[in-house]
Amino acid sequence: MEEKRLGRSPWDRFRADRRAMVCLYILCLEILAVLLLPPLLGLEPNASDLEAGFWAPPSAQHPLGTDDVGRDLLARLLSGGQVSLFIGLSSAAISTALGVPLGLLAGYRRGAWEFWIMRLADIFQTFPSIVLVLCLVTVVGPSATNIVLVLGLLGWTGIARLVYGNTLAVREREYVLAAKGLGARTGTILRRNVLPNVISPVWCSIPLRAGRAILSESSLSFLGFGIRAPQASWGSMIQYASNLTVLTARPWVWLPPGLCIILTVLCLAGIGDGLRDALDPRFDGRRS
Amino acid sequence: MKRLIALLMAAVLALGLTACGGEKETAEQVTVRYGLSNAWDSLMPYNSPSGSNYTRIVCDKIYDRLAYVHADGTLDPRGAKSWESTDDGMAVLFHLDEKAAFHDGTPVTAQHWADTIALITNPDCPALGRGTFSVLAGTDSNGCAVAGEQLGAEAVDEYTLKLTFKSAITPEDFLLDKNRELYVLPTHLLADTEPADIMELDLWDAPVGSGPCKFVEEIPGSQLVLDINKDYQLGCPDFDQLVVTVIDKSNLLSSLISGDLDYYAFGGNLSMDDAETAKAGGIEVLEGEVPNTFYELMLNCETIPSAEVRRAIDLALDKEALCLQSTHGLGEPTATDVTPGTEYTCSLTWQRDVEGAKTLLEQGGYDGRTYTLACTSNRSGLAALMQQELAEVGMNVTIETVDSAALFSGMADGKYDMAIASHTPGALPLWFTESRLSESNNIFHIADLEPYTYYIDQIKSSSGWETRQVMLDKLQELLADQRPFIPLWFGRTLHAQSPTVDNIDYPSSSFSNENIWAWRMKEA
Repeated sequence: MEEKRLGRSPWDRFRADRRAMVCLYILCLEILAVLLLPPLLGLEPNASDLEAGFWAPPSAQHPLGTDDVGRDLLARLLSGGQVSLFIGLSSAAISTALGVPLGLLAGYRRGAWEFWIMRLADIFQTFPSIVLVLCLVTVVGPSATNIVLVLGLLGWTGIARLVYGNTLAVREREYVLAAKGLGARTGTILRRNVLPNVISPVWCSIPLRAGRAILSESSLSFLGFGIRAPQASWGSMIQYASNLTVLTARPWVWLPPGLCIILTVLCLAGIGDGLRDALDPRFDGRRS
Repeated sequence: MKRLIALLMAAVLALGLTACGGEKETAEQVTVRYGLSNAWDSLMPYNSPSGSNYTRIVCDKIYDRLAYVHADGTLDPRGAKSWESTDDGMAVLFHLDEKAAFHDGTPVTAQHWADTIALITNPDCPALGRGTFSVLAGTDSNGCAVAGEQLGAEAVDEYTLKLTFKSAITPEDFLLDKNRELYVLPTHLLADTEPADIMELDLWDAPVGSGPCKFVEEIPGSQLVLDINKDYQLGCPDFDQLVVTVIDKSNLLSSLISGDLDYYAFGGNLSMDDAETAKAGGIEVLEGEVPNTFYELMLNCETIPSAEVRRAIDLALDKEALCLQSTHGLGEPTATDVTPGTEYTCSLTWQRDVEGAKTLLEQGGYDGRTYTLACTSNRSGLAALMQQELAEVGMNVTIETVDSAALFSGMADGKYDMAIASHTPGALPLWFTESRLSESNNIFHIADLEPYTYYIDQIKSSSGWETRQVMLDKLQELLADQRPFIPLWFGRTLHAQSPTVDNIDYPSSSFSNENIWAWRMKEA
């Protein structure tokens, strides 16, 4: 059984994880829906239908009803999904692109590199992240691109720490010492010998980080510091729920974006778990 | 003997218990919890950068004013018991209430009022909002005292204050227009301070006023604890303390329903949309009868220099839909800033004409540039609706969501091209235009104010209603032709009644004064 498992590729092991596959399918469906449905159905997220009225309940014409300006909530849900998923995935990519090389350098080079990179990470982590994000978004202005940049640039510390810890262990392994002895350059050693052996946990953390970024964008939008009107995001849509009347009498307004956020974050977490199991050759396929 | 001792002990015990009970009763403080959606920015009324109603409503508690203004424009005595016009309407005598006293026990005299005005109009004093005093003789258009001229504020005797004006004005018109900006300061505590250093005093961290409440403590921007001034000349409510807490606007109603608040400013304002929720939560709701909000679209005439383009924006807007979105049926679209229901009228009507707007844009040479529309976050829906309507005529607009202070400073600095703002309307014909079409507050960036100020001066100097109305019509025609701002609608409001406090004059709260001395706790 163990041999059989060790002989399979990570992708085969991931595919064998039914829960992770379901999460992946749902996320892919969600991405396809937010990208394809608006042009296919001719949905216009920023156009008001004054005949339908403001806060109209779900109807055949507007399956999820309309918002405070008479805009179709289904169109805004799909358009908001594009923004939220873009923010989540892009900021996770930026964090990874920054965190991996910094963690590798700190762990492999040690000395001044280790001191400055890890102290910088400490400094970043001492600030309450939401406060820091709020301040930066206020300074640079609320837009989807700026939020991606701020969340991405502030999220590198976790990944850098992860890579740094693993690099410390790997740098003393025989194959690294051998490469060093054969005169390989630092860049080559890091790329060929160290990175492939420390990257597995990073793959697992990317979906989780994307989920966290979606939640951060939602929090920012809920606090009124999110993306710029009239653009929608799931976070800005659930902001309507801060009004007592909307919260109690108009669940169709905030429930769909709320459910989408929960579903997406759960799927990303499921994919992260699946990747962790698939990339760990010692994992026997049973969950604790 | 045993019985006697037992009786004695019982008596002592009973006396002790009675004493304990008495002590408990006197120690119990009755507190009214008061909600405010935005923080005050200063407890010194002449040092508020925003000059907002939030600061005014807080200062209204600590400091005294000359009169109490009702929502319908009628006046009641407050710091002044009565007033009379004198010198052919060029001056007003205010007969002050002899019972008025500062919280430190010093009686409030006419000299305090005269000294306050002299201090604030002193050019060396870094006071904010002194434009209020520009109507007084001996001041310039910014409200600064002019050297060598007699300032129009003097104490005739201990309790008679005389204000002399640049042009004739009735006491009622003066109070309707300026009362909310006029506070008496404890000038006896400022005697040893240079005017330039007044704002630096520690006194403003724990202010002493002569209003219906005394300062106790403050958590800046968050909470203000006030004790009731039991010696206030108009009486005092039957509670001991007022705690003002800043709570987000969206949580005010839920806090009132849950019992975390007893009342919230201004007047328990409630939208039509929230009325059912309030009723379901056991809150009684009353409909306001007079307009208490005026919405306008401010325009930057420097970045939108063409009057045709500005008129095109006016024609492009569907004010009916905008008004409905904002007021849910409790408002009337308008083409003018003249408040409906007052003695002054305006015959201008509004209309939406998309084709007309397109033609005007062409005539005005609109080059397709993108304008910036600033609004506060709670009006982003309104801005989005405007953006769509302007896009329909071919005008590009981006929305910037900012806080109220940034909105006004951004307009003043010329950062934004347009901004949505609302105001509390007044009964006077120049309640809106006089302050905004002046050199000191040219927020619309009008290149030449002279045509406007000509009519404004004519209206101010006209003695009869008829002449004023004629001049007002001419001013409104000029405004309609040049459109430095776009009047949108006048709105009324609903008032969520306090479940615990009676006798609140809800509608008058919009005028930044509250009859707190008359508030009474409801029977449990």
